[in-house]
Amino acid sequence: MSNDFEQLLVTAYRRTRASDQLEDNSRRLRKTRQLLLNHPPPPEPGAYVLVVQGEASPYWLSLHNGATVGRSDDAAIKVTGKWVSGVHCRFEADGTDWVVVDQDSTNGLQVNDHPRARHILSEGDAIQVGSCLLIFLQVRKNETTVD
Amino acid sequence: MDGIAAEQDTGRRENFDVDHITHESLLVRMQDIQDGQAWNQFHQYYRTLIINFAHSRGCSGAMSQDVLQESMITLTKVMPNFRYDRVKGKFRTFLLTIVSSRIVDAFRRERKYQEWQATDSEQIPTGENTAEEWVSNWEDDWEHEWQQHLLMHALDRVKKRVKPYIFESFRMYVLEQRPAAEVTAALEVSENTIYQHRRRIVTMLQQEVEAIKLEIGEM
Repeated sequence: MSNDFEQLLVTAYRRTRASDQLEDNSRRLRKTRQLLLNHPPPPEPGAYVLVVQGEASPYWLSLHNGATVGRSDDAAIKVTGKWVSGVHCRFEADGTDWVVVDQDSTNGLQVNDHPRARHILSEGDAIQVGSCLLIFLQVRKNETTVD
Repeated sequence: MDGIAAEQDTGRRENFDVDHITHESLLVRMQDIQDGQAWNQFHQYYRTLIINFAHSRGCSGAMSQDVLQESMITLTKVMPNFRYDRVKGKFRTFLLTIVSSRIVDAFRRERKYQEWQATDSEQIPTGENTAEEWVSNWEDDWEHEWQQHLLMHALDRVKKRVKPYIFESFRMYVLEQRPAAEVTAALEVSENTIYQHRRRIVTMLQQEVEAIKLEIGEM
């Protein structure tokens, strides 16, 4: 019997148990994947959000620095509802990253079901503003090419 | 064989049924965008590998979750164009490329968070090497992580093949490293029986690891 084998086994078991303690986000990821498959992102490189709101068909919006979300007529993404502030949150470019910033909204900003004041976006992040869901995605040059 | 029976998995990994299909067919099915079950199995199969590897690179729990999320999103985008070819290269090498890139991204974001929180007197940690230099020697660690990943996959398979009390004695005595006396008292079996279970399951595990390697084209 190999002690090395058992040692590797015990180490792997402990590490797996530790990772199992992390939040299981598979359900959210599954929903995101389905949205991306049903609504493929634009081919042009850039940062986008998929806007999922009410009964309307989801659509992709190319982000620009300072794009806002809220009830205001000036908002890049106009969201109605009593839980939404006039200017609820704002997207800011920070180098190659994109940041979503709460604009002192009354009911706060949720990213991946957690309250956030300022959040550097990862691909697949789900931003909830009232009843509107925004899925963040970046399209990179040649990303879907497999060598 | 005495004590061997097909058992239903009742733990957290209830839906972990990748072993009912081959790894190759799973990758092929991943290319069918409508095959949600394949994606679920794929996520279940690789979640621990990706999270543990991110941890081993120094990622926090939240950063590891980000790495997993971004890796899965990238795979969603890439898989329709992926062609599985055992001769050309291993899938795990392809996956390492994706995961490494996402770990670098996670650390870049983390550094920004630290910059936001730091006062003028605080030192912001800065990397001396470029991201390319940093990830250039990760293959060996990824290989080690991969071996542990295969072992856990084999453990899941063995768990389904043995009676629950046999696996429980192995879990307590070997995996949890509890004293033999405690295990004998808890399960009402002799110490000798515990040692027999240990030998049997280790042998089965070694066989399963070899079988998995054969399935995924590593032998």
